[in-house]
Amino acid sequence: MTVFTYSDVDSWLRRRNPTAKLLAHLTITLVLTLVFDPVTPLAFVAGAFVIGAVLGRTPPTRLAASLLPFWLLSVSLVVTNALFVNQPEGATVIWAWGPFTATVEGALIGLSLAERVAAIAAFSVLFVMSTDPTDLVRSLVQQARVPPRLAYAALAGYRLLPALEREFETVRLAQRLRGYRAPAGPLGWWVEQRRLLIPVLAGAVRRTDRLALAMDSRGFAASRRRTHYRSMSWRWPDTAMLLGALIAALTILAVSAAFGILQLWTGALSV
Amino acid sequence: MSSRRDDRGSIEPHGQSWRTRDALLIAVLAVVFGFLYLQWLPVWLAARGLGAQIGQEAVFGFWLAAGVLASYIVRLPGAALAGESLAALAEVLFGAAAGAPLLITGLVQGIGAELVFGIRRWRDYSLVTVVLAGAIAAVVAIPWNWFRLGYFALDPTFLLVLFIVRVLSGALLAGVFPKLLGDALAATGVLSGYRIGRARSEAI
Repeated sequence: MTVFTYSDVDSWLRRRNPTAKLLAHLTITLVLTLVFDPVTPLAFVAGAFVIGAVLGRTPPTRLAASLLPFWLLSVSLVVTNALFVNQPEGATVIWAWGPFTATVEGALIGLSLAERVAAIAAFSVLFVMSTDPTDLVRSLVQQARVPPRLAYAALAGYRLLPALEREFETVRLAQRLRGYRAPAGPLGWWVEQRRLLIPVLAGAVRRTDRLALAMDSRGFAASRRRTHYRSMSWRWPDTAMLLGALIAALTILAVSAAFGILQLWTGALSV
Repeated sequence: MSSRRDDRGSIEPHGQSWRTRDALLIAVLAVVFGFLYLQWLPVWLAARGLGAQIGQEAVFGFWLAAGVLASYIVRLPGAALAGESLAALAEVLFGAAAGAPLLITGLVQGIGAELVFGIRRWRDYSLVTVVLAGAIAAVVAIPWNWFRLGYFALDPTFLLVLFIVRVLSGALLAGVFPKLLGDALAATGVLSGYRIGRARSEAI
């Protein structure tokens, strides 16, 4: 899978408080999970492109490219849902063979779920590309009241990962140099991963111990009352963004309902 | 507060509170697993091709392993919950497509294991308890996972099959696997400063 990373381009979205962005993203996603028709989620996807272009200075082509893998997922979602969805009375059958019955209704739910995944992914890409990981952790400590000991430990771990990836390669090459060849087949793959995972994790634990000692010796988290090197602030545009996200999401649902398109998670579809 | 120093210069755990090294170890394991969790996504997607939702539920258990492993090594209250939540945070930082809701997913997927270890007062880490923690974690996460995946629109009989597959997956991939990994790591000796290491040396 492609890993999308933070790009240091100044934009309105970039200047927003990371916790506020996280909450806005969460709000949109939760509203989206109520939708079960194949048209409404497309409005959310379009919304992500507009917000990206206007507020996030994210080129639409870049956003579209990042969504490519999800269209493959959508094909499988459509097929499996057509076959396995709890069929409502009078469902339109496309194809039937033995215990399998594919229906139009099922396929449409599958399409809706696939579009939902794409919409959530689009907002996720916007979030990650406009948020500095360090700022996110600072904001989680200062605004979301996550315990500093845990949050900064997470940041330290995050910073450690590139070193671990290098170590993984070093251990692999060292084992090769000593003439180790993994046996063939899936079992061999497992044996090789195990041989690599243990030394790499053991190395990570040793690093962690040194890091903990260094942090303790500097009095890290020794006192409950602490100051911050960089303080993150929550300003009125952050509140506006959060409210705006909720209002926009509900407006899409309302407009869709007014046109008779919207289909919520109804009893007819549930267990 | 009385605390004595062990041979490695770090302060011994006093009662059931976390030291800096405990928090750091949980976080580092979580970040490594957050990375592995993302690599697992193609496996999960491929599993759908092989066995529809049944295949996906069969490999789902791996996404619950971080919390169980963290608790198995550190053996302190909150480790399972923190381990799984931070793994989810790491996934968000690495740009997971599922985005911010993963933070809720992380909490939900950590609760079950934390409950099981909590009932045993964070003292019993036998194979049975750990396997149970993995299985219960898988069960507790069902409402949220299946709601997000839209599974509740599926046929009830089919859901029962999915439930059974998921429990087995949780027991194996989030129970047996973290235990084997934790034991293999403890055998190298690097965990001597943590509770799992102390439990081993007492056994010897």
